[in-house]
Amino acid sequence: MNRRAFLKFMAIGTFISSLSRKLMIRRTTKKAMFWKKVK
Amino acid sequence: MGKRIKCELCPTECELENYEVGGCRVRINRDGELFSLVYGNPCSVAVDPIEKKPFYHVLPATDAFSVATVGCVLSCKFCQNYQISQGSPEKSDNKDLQPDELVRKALAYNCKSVAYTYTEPAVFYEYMYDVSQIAKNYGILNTMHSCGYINEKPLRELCKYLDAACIDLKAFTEDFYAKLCGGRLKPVLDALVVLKEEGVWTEIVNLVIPTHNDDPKQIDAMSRWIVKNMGEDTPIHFSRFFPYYKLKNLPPTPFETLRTAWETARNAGLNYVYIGNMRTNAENTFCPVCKKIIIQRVGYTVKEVNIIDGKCKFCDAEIAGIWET
Repeated sequence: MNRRAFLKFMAIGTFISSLSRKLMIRRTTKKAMFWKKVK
Repeated sequence: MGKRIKCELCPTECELENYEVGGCRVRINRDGELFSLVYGNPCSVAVDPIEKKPFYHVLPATDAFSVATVGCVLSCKFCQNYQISQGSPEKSDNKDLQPDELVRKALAYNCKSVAYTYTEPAVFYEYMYDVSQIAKNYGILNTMHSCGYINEKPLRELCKYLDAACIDLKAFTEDFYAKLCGGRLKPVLDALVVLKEEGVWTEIVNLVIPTHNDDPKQIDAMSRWIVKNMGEDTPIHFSRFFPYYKLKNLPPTPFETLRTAWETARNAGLNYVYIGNMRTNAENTFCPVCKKIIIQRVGYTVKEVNIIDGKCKFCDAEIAGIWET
């Protein structure tokens, strides 16, 4: 695999990983207990 | 603006910007509200003997339905479960197990208790709290193995449903907690007092790490604090350390060190002192009055129980603990 293809492969991996994290955060519906807003 | 929040679950009290995750890696500020990232998604589920927790005075020879999610409020350099405790939810292999389904499984496997263990249960507080309520309704005990790093208010709320707690008292100096755990000792001692006040059965675990917390003077001070604040019937387990995670440079704890710790705690007035992670006579429970073996163990296996209705079979002395549901 040449350098260009490798970088492309890494970029796609990073994108999918960040997308899966975002989806997980969005999917979370359980509000936590014991917290307060800070001004 | 206006979306900054403060988590009040553990003494770290992280202040989080929008979409920032707490130090435990499992609680996130999402648009000004705190959410749990691990509710109903445990990474570890197993049926274990309750002796593995270790609970030596809670329903001996029964199984505990054990559950954990990723995350921890501390970052101990000697963590024996660092792969999950120091992990984050998106990088772990999680199951979908909602509270009612968890209790159904515990009943199906004939478990007398649910154990919130392996990592730090405080980080999945909401999950533990909901499971506890359902388990209680079905006559299943709720037990947790925790580092005790939790604020008073959430702990008191949890104590409504919690039957027993096994607390890691990692050392008796602030210096140890600061350097090796990334936390403080004082909140742990406060949590122990709260558990005592709330009537939760408590056992203490102390992992004896060579050169770090094996000073007999420190163990003596810790044992005397336990006698004074928790009572002489509080069991303490001195566990053998094995080199792991970031403390691979140290040797396993020598038997002599554990024996000295055992003797020091006994001399300080504690009735039930055990040595863990090692096969010795000190894994048995002795009656504090007649000195006979009332629970004989080999590792996690219970060979013999000589307790009838919470009393020693030989001399009728009361033995502290939870012996029936």
